[in-house]
Amino acid sequence: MKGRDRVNKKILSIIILAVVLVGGLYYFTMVKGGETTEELVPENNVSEETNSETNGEDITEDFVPDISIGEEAPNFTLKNLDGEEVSLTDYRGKIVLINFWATWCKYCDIEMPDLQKLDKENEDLVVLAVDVMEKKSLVEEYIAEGGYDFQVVLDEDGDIAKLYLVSAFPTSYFVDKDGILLGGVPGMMTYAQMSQIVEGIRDGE
Amino acid sequence: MKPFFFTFKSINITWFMAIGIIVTSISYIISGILAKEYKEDKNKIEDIFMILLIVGFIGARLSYVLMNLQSYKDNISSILKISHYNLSLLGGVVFGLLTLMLLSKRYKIEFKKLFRIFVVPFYFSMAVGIWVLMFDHLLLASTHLKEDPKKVLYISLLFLIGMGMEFALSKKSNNKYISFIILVVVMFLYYIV
Repeated sequence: MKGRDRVNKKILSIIILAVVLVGGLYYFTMVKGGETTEELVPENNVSEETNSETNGEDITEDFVPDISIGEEAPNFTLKNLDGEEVSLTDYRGKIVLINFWATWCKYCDIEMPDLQKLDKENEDLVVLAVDVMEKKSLVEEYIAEGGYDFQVVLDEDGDIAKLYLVSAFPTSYFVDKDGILLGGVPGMMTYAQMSQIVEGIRDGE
Repeated sequence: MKPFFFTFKSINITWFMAIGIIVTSISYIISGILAKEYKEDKNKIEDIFMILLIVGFIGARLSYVLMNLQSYKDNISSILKISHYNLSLLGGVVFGLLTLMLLSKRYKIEFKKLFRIFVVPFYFSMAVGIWVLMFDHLLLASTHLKEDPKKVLYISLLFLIGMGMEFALSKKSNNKYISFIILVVVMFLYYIV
């Protein structure tokens, strides 16, 4: 009888643990998470302060904006290989795949042709490849050799990579048509993986 | 919500990995507790748990590939590149059940008993683990819940209720298929919610 009571107590503990965890996750993601989003997003849904201060050249050690899933992706402005300034906000209305990479990275090299294919085959998507802390001449040579023609920008100081919590190459982020950051994928992706994610984003809109 | 659970130097721990490890660990403990309740050897049950975990993942991946063959036909080797964005829950469950049938013969434990032991950790994992969709919106976008994230709560409650019903009805009911019926109903509701 005592053994049975002990088992029943354990079963009760399992149920209580499940209920507590589910309740906690609900509060953390839907109640508290919802409140935070409302506080942070201005009425016009465009954070002008964030946009100006997260410019690639403007980031200082004193101000490091947060990167959060489900909120506006921090904007940045970097120079491309033609020396023109390119901002993330230039691509509003399109799904953006931000890919952080470097020429020395073996897996970035494997991923590049798939990024090219994805960029070519999807009119509503743009690949924004952010080269991190490398010389322009080196990147130019690499891109010319590969025959890639998607947008490549240079994060010369690594500030944008730092802002986007890049700790390994390649790392990719997906931003929806409204500029909302949907998530990040550390490591290399195959074309199948990329296109499945893009399909999912498209269906969810 | 940060994009990753933990980032340090070249180490990236995704939300899926973090929640997956927590949920799997608790489920492992639960299956040990239930082994005692059903008077089975705890070591055997824990061994079966590990086998089910591995086979479940392989099954989830294979099923996903079979359902999306057109994406892999030009690049067969990418089938081996498993990501949590490209798995099928139903495939994992079906492969898990088939493996359980085989293991019940190998370990000489009644299938019904094994099913009842492992269905509870499954409900628990789903009730808690489904919340990873709220941390990783890319993962949410790859599910049928993408149109209304609030459905994550309903799904979580659905699996909680499934677990409650399993505890309440499985031993009291005379119907030997009751646990299986509950699982089928829960899975059916999961896909139509």
